[in-house]
Amino acid sequence: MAEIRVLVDKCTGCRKCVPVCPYGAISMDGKKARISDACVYCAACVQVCRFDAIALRTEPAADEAAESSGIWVFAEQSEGKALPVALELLGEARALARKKPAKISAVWLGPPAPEQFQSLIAHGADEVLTVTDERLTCRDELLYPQVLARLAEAYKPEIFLFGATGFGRSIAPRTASALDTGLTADCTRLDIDPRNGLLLQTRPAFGGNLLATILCRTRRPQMASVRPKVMRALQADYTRRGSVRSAPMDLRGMHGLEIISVRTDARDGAGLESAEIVVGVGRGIGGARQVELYRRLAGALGAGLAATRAVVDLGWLEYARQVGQTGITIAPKLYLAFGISGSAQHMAGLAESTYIIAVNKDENAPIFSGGRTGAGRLRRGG
Amino acid sequence: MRPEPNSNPDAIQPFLSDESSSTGCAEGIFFPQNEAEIREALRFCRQTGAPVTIQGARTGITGGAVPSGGQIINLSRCNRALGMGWDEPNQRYTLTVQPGMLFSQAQKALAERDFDTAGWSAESQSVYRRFCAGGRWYFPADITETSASIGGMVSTNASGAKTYLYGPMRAHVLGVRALLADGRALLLRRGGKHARNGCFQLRLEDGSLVEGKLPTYRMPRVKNASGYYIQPDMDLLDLFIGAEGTLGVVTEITIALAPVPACSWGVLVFFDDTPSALRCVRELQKLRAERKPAAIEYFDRACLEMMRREQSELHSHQSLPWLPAVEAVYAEFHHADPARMDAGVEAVADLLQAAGADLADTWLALTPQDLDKLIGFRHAVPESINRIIAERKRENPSLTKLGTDMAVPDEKLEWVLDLYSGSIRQLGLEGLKFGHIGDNHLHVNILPRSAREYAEGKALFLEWARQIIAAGGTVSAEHGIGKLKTAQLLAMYGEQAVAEMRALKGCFDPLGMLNQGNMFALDGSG
Amino acid sequence: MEIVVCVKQVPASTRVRLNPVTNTIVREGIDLMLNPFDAYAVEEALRLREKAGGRVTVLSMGIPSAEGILRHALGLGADRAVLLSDKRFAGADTLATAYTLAAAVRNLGGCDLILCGRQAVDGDTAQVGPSLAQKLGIPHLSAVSRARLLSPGELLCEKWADEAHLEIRLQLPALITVVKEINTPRFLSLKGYLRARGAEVETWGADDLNIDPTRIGLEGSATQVVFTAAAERRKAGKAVSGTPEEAAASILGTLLQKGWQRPTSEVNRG
Repeated sequence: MAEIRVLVDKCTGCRKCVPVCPYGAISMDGKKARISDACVYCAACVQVCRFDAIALRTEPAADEAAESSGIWVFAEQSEGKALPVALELLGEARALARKKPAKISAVWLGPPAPEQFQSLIAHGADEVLTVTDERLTCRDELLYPQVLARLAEAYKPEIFLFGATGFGRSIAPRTASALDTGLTADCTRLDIDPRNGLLLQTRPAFGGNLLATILCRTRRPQMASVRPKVMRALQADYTRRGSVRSAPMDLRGMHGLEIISVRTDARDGAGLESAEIVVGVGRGIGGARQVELYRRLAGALGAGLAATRAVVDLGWLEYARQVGQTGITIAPKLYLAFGISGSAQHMAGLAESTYIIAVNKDENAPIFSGGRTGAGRLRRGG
Repeated sequence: MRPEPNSNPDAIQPFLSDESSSTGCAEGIFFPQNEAEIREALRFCRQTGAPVTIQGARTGITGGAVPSGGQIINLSRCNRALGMGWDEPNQRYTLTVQPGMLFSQAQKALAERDFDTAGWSAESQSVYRRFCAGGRWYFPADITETSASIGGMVSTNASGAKTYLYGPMRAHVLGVRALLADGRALLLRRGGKHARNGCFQLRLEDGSLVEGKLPTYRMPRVKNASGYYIQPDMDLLDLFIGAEGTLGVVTEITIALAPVPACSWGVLVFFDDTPSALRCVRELQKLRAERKPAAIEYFDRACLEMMRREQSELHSHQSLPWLPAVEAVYAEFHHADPARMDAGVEAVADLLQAAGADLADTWLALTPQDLDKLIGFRHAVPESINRIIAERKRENPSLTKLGTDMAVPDEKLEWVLDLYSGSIRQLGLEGLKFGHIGDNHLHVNILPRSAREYAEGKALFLEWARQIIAAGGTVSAEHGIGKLKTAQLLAMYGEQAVAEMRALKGCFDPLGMLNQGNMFALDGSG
Repeated sequence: MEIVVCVKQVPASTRVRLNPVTNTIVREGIDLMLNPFDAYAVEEALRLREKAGGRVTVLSMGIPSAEGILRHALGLGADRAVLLSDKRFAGADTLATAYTLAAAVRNLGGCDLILCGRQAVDGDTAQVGPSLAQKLGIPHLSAVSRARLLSPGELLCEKWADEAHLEIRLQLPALITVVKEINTPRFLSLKGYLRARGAEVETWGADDLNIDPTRIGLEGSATQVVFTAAAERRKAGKAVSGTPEEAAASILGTLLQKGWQRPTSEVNRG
């Protein structure tokens, strides 16, 4: 059983741990800190204590680590083409392999696509592991995890990476659950701990205000998902050598979803993820009727139109356009932010490299201390 | 800042209007950053014989900040907090700010405990450190437009929904430092100097005196923002609160802070007709002491129907469920002790049920997130009205919103609601009624659809004012008089009273330089 | 129809401030609330019950104060509320949470449909729903934006999958995670509040469930947080002042400098 204890002989009563707990679980009992049942073992207090007076202890489980090897990247495909995020993950896998040598396999479920397999190899895969059953052509969030779990049980990878697309965010946890292993979602950084070779998985929490680093110590594979445009793909090198291996798999016992229709017509918010310029509107634009003005601006610039969570919650724009921690991530070259205060929650949806121009009535808005160029006073009445 | 105004017409242009529908004119504008610069600007105006209009954030809706020639002294860059104090007898923090600091800025800095303390005295710094280490404090005054400046709030004695419990700005000002038109400085503290036998005498910083007679009129016993605040033997600090900038330029304000209520909750109650709504309002108005609501607000059927139309035009996902097409009363409650909240909710439920409300027809907000949704609804009503007017104005530029700000004594509430509904119905106008019903103070907005309706609406307001004054009410309960309601102030108090107001101003500003046209015309024309 | 809604209590404020002097993370307030996405799940469950009849049970794994959100759900109209609260559940990652919730669902006697909000605003992982479905061996569909009951055992769901709109016929029993587009949650009424005051919130501990104690809580977790830090902020920006025309001209100048092409004349109009 897990245990967290304040070592009272070491605790000096300095109180540094009290405000640091995101769940308010620490209080002072006289001159000693006391941790209540609200503790979720996030270890924030352990780090801040200068006197090593807080001890967190867990019992290790059986060690699966010894048997597993290799880095797997789920090569998500849409209509027979690998998604860019898969290539980005291959780039990241190669970076990890430089720190701890490993064979990199791109895992492909879908129709046979030899050109795509060559592309995956050119982008860093040593091997493309394929299951090409017809039932896998459409991305089926019930069927895929069954196939992937079977593959992972058979081939025992050490690390399994997924793109955190809508589909990836559904199949990765189901696959992890089937394998009884750990999954860290929406990682913004991956690294190898030089002391023990473990995958260090870093992700934002608390609406983007905190960064947590997570380990999956004993279960395998160590699974992580990464949002598109967070990692970088390598330049394709078609002289790279790699193999394509088809994995035998009998899908007959597996149930899939009954998909009745698929419409790929232009959706509101379509193209936001690939737009070079995006116009973002926040609550500061003043009202639902003001949206039209910005829609026209976006149209004139050939830009996408995005919204903050506040604007979506107020019903001024649809959820598909919500950019942020609980919406989509975009990486335009230029982001024009109107009436957006710049909460960490929203900014988490913007790539680091995006150039931001913010217009806001409030010169103290956080977006100005985290943006690139600001301009004051949103004009009243548009 | 050089002691010379910016006379570039492009620089002046954005500052010729406020949130009223009027635009003025001016020859130059100053943006002082501290009292010394304000004094220099005043000196320049004196030397050139120019009238001066003082501006805060220009969120007023009666034209108080609209210049009618001469110079503008805009205080928006005079916006720092100057220090904190501890009021030992009342066990509360105090905050001293420059007039240009916005209400929202002050609230944010208090909530985040994040002030720029450069230049603060050692004692202020020490109080500030204690404040940062302790519980949560805030500024308990309440206004609807939170981007108003604190100086503006003093000048208009601003109020909002929670004024019902906490009082208007006047209740929260502990001290004011002001410069008279001639540059002399005056320091006023709550409880400092009082009027005596209808006369007043104030000692200025340089030792000289300002003295004179207090006007003799009696203010109506309602929530009131019309004309100077006058009471026999009054605390003279109150002369400067609600004076609409006519007596001097406020350069520093000390406000009282309060601990953030441990919990707040609100409920929106729906009624099929006005008498049912009023029955519940009457019962809520009887609650006193710790049971007294923080706010009691009203929205008539026209308001909810308008919001329903907005809901159907918006994108399908939104934060409020469908509003029923009925009348609504909103009540909010604050508790210092969270353990008392459940008992409070039950008690209000009992009260409402006994008064005939259907408890299933209520929206209860017990969490900050739900409370935010209801507050959003309340603010959306006037915002939607403004949007509709803006659209109609595009077709017909002469049309503007017509709105009233009148309050009546307690016993006249039913009467005034009948008066409003009856006349609107009779003339077939499009009218909406909403507002701070707890204080018997409702805003009635007429949305004219033609020039004829506009004229009818204006005439109707004058008739209402006549009847409400006769009933002991006021023409302006919170917006002030500014330049747009001078005729109504005259109708309310009469010529002699307005002459006395002029004379009072004359004691402080003999040349009549400051904010000409606010409250009354200087030459006696109205 | 037996419907179970899994809800979570999360901190009301996700704002965390970094104290620059001590470089420690200071949370702003400790108020707790119902995870916003879960409110939509509760609402959808109530609507399905209104159409098909049956019972809605709300289930939460949390500390004792989570009883508040469960009571809120009862006030909204849920029929039964169960709180899983035990020191031994603490420290659970999504895997251990899914395992525990699955045990609770079995203890309830199973159900026809489970609803979850898409993700929790404190963890933001969107993992518990799919993971729970796996543990129960039932199909799941994530990010559902519309759900209609076709027949007692079939739910017609709509969702956006990246850029495509899908319609899927889901055989029950199943689990769906929902997004905000699916509905607008109702408010609690005073009547509901009073009814919930007297209602019972059942509390179950580890001993009330049929579980392997090594698979719950921190011990049953596959992942642990080993480090927490304040997120880095972007660099502060450059402010541009002046009249709107001046500011626009200045910004345009900066963009041109950075290599952007001048827009066509159509853009300059209006």
